[in-house]
Amino acid sequence: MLSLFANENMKLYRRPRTWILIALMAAIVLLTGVLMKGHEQPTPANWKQALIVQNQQLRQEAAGGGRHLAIFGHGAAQLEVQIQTNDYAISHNVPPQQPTGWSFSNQVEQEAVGVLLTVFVAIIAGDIVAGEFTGGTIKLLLTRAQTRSRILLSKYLAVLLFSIVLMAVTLGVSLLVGGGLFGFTGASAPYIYMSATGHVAQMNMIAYLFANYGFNSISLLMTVTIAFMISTIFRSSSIAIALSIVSLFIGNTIVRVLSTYSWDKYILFANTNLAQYFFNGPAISGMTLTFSVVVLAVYFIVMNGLSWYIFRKRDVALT
Amino acid sequence: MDEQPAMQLRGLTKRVGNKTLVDHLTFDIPKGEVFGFLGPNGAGKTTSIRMMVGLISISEGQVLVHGVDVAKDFSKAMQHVGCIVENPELYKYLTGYENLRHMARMTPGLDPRRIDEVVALVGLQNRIHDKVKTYSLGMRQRLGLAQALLHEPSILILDEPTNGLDPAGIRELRDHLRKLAREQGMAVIVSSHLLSEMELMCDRVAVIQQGKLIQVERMGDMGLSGDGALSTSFEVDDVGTAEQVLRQHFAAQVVTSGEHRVTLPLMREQVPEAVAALTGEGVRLFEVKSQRKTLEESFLEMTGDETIA
Repeated sequence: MLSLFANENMKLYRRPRTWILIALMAAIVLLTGVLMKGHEQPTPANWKQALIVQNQQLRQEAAGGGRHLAIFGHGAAQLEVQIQTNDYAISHNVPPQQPTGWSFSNQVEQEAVGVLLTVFVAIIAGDIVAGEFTGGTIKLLLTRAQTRSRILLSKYLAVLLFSIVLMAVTLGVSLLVGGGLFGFTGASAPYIYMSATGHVAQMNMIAYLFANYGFNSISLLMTVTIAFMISTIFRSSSIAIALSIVSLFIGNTIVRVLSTYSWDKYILFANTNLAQYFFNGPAISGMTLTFSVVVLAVYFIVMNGLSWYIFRKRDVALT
Repeated sequence: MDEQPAMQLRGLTKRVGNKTLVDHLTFDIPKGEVFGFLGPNGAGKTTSIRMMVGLISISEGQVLVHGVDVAKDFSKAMQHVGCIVENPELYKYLTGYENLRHMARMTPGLDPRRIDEVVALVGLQNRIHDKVKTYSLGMRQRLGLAQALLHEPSILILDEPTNGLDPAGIRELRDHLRKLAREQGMAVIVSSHLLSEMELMCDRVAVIQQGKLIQVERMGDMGLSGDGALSTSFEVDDVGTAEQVLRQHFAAQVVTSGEHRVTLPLMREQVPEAVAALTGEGVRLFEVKSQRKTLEESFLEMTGDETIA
């Protein structure tokens, strides 16, 4: 099994394509950093004064019951988050808009390359089985003294490893670029947020960074699984890559469009973002973490089961 | 037969929908011989081979490799089998050596030094560390063969091995296969729709048509089918006398052609008798030629005039 895994990795990393994707990712992170540095606004001298004034207004608002924000549910808590964030900035003498290595790494993942990460992984996952069929080399794999299940598993594991590598590269490069451009200060600054229950909570900036990547890796895993399944079933890299990327982009839209139906919450894409149970609360009320984890597990097992079943039964090129 | 055959087909059948592509093939493939699957395109040769190496499922019947059922214990059976189905399949972005290492890793317990052995065997030492995309077709064929031989199989299966090869490549492959069968006692199975090729390569052929086995024959026996008569021609000085003499001795149809040649069907044992009769009558004899039916003739005889399936 280990040698099959070694084979898959050899095939993956001996291709320029794989390295181009990794290098492209690093380059985009770097470019984002340089652009951000270039557009950095100088902090106004009276920023502290401005925050104090803002906090006074926010407190008045809160005292008034958060009228304007109440429609969003937890208006008062959201005001409180802003007030506490400002308070921290004032008392520790750090301008709030000033990016740090940590906040850059977070921002770049959430706003710039998070989607790209998934797209790149889908490209690899969509090709790893289908590519063997198009190249004819599947016949080599299936006529040796190895079971089909092991061949398929070794491929799935190789894709997972690639996902981890690409994610680690993104995290590592973004920390280096962020730290280099903006400095490694502010690691101890808390990330203040509204918890799912509507209370103000805070966590360490580094913890938040890893939480962020961790939650994203869940949806990444699901995209990998979709791409891998389509790759196995249709034996076409382009269909697998295209469909999995499309699903990534329209998944959330579908969930929103179908929100009037009660079964909306059983759609895979309504559940891929587990962060909603920790920050800000779920998009569809009534959903719980356990519910989503169970739904994800069911999708995961069904999709992988389908890949496995079809791969094992497949007649290879009957002509 | 005291020795177990290398491979046995037992009622091997493939059905897709209501079409039967391969219909109850039963025969043994002995060790140490080059065994051919012969038949027109679409006869079911490739389908049979794909079932034999586990690429497609078997609808009915069995394939036994040294007595091990391929469908029941695939891994164990395939340890003895090396194959190239259609083209040699290679990873073009890897070097030849990496392709072999990839193959080696799929065989548990294979000594890595074996890679160098097969490289030497197929004569690719100079180019083995180059990427496969720079290889010529002949080199790819050799590398494919090296891949198939890497785990020292006792059965080698090649589907249409000469497709796309030039005459020199075909000759090289043929010599190679015969050597493997003779010297290592390997059972080599090849398929082809080209009779002339099979004639040179195989010791025995199974003739298949429309998924059914027509017959299994030793190559040397093939031209002798039917009543065993050979078309025999005599070059003589006096055609008229010769024709008369031969008609008297053998109640057969004698055909004269040109000024000096008479031809008639004769059994092998009758040839000396004919020569004696002719010389006895003072006919001067310059040449006697017995011609076997060509493989093509006997093949067409066997398969009839049926259209290709």
